[in-house]
Amino acid sequence: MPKNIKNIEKIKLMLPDYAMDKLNPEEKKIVENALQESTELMALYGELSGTFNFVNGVKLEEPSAQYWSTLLPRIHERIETKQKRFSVETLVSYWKIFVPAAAVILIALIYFLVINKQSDKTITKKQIEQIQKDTVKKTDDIKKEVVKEEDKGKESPKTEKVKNHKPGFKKLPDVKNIDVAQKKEELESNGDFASEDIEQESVFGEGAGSLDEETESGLDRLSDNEEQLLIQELKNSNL
Amino acid sequence: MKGSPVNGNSDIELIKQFKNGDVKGYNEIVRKYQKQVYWVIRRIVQDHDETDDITQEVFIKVYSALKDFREEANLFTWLYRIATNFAINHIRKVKIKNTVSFEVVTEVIEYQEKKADEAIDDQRKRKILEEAIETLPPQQRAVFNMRYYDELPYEEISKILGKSVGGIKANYFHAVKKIGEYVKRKL
Repeated sequence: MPKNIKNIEKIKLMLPDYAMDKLNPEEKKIVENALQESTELMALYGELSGTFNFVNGVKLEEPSAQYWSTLLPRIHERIETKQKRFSVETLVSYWKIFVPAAAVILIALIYFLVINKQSDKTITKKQIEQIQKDTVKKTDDIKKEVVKEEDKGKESPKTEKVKNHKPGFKKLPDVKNIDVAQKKEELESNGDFASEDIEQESVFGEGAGSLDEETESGLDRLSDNEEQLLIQELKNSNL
Repeated sequence: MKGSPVNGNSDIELIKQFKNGDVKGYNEIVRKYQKQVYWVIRRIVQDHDETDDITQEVFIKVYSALKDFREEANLFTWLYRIATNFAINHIRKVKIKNTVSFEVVTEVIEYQEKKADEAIDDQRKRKILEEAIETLPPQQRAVFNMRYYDELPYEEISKILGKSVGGIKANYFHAVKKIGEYVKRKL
């Protein structure tokens, strides 16, 4: 019985071809024998034959002759469009890589340039600080020499002024000095004071252009560069 | 239309011509097989415009892949496989997209048809058949077209679809049965 069922299933699958007359004579005979024995198979065959009759009667609309003649040019048109699109897409894909890469390089370049400039500035600042320190040291040395001279008993109003001088600060022509000038005029008119002494007292009040002899001799001992720096600093320190 | 119109030697010559850079070989292949390819797709997809679009896509694919085609293989079988796959993929996509709208459209059509009470003419028969074929799963649809319209041997269908001969026979039987049942309901 199971063998029969298996055969029936096999014959069922042959029915469409039998209905379309596509079986070889041997297969045809097997199916015909089965149909005579089984009403179920016969009913199924009837259904399938009816379906084929219906499908045979339906004609799908044929495209026009013009359709077939224009198909090839349209295909070529699309191929060309696709190729163009492909080349544009390829270009775009290159740009997608190129632009960010260029941006990164540019940023890196700018970054390094700025960093280098800043480090240069830092070096210059350090150099200036060093020069200032050196200048202070030199000035201190000069002071010490002046103090030594004082110890030798040669203290004078000139050296007093140098001793009191602070590097980085320049004495302005203050009220005292103005008073002195006024006093000088008064005294000269009275004949009590020598004008020379008053001039010597106000030496720093008149600026770096009129340094006293001691300071100038100290400056002479400095190198040209150091001297220039010191003078410049003294000039700049004026408020 | 029916049967495999393969002229082996000629196909090989055309392929060689194309591989040597002469596009005339490709053009000749298109002219030779355009109708077969069109109908393979049309019977699966049903709609002419969609068929036209897919036919062009198939030949564009052929254009790009023909240089790698092995000459000992059968060009017609290869074309048939590409066309069937493109058509099946298309109806799978459309089915996912338009499941609801297709049902709505069908209902509207049915309503209009009943109301008009028109006789069953060729156009209506065609419509019913198209709908019946559309109810089939993609593979059954392809098998039905290949076997019924193109009369391809089961062995060739099995090669094209990569399925067993027994499976293809079962697909064909179920396809015919389902179409019959649908037509019976509609008439």
